[in-house]
Amino acid sequence: MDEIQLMIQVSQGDLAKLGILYERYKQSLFGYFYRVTCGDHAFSEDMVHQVFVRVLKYRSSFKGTGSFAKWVFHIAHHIAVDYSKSFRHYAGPDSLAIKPSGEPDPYKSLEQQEKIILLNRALSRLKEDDREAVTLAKIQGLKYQDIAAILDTTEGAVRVKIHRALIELKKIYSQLEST
Amino acid sequence: MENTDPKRKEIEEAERLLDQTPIPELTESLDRKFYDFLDAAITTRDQFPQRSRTALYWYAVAAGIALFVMGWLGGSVLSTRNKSSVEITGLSGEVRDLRESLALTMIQQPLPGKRIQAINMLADMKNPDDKIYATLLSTLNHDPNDNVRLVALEALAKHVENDQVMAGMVEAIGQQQTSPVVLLRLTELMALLGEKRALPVLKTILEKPDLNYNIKTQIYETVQGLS
Repeated sequence: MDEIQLMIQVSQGDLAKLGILYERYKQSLFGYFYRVTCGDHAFSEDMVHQVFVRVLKYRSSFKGTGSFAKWVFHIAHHIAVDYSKSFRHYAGPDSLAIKPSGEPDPYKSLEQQEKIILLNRALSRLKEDDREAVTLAKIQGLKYQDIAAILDTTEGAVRVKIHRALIELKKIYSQLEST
Repeated sequence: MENTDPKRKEIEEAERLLDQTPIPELTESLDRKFYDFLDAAITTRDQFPQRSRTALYWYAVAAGIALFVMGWLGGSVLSTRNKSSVEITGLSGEVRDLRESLALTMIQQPLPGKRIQAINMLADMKNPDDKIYATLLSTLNHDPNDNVRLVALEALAKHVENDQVMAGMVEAIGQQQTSPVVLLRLTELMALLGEKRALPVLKTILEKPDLNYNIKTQIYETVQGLS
């Protein structure tokens, strides 16, 4: 069923339909928070839950005029901003509040684990809003136009920001790889 | 034709990096938490179905008029018949006892939604007694559902002037092993209230080697602020 229709049904009181939306979006939302928090698994899961708490709370504000993805990631963005404020992520790329997760995952190969740790470190050195922009750009179903709306900026500015941030990310990653 | 622009190449490599670096799987606890929450929301909605805004508006107007009439009538009756005021006080006490008993029974229910409803009933009661405080503290410490514990904490936070509540909240810090949100909220409250009795337990938590870095930062700051 179409996601907009599902959310409209939720807003009209058919709350059980939220389960379908949760199943469809839990992994991509988790991926977004995981990248934004530079690999904080527990907090990322907690924030996914908070997203759905807010989806239910503000369900009547969903008008079905834009995509559900855009609406739900707009909520996720606000939660991420609250999180950042709590832990002073805006203090800068090397903020003490950001410590990339180095916890090994037994299900991943050693090479993959190293990649995850390196990428988390590289992401943690990006500016907060750059990190969020590149993360949103990788989410299926979100267009530049949607990302611009989520971040409250223009489509052109988002394109430039993402391109610059990706170049910076690659540069930092290469530096970390060679050390 | 292959793109030779070095910037373009870097962008593509960064995109590949993001695409190929896996994101860990979610744990089952998130599913449990979400479905408990949804279950609670559905239960609450079934008990208090949503009505349209217009209907709610007219209900509010009607309730306002009814309250005014009842107040006026009540005032007239009470002014002429002081004797019955004792009976009314007794009756309202009985109603309160009945509500309290109902809430204390509901808090034992298996559905988290029922338990949240019970906590809200207890939280709404004027002049809560020790039994209510003890029930809320026990829920905060022992309920298996994070949301229920969080609601219990918010209910208790309204009564921090009561020493039993404050001492219980301090004691509860050491028991919040499974929910970072409840632990963080408790720490926040301790910082806000300047509760120095929380210092020993917060210091003990700080010593844990596997503590989440962000929680550690928050607790560290609270300890610094309270010391």
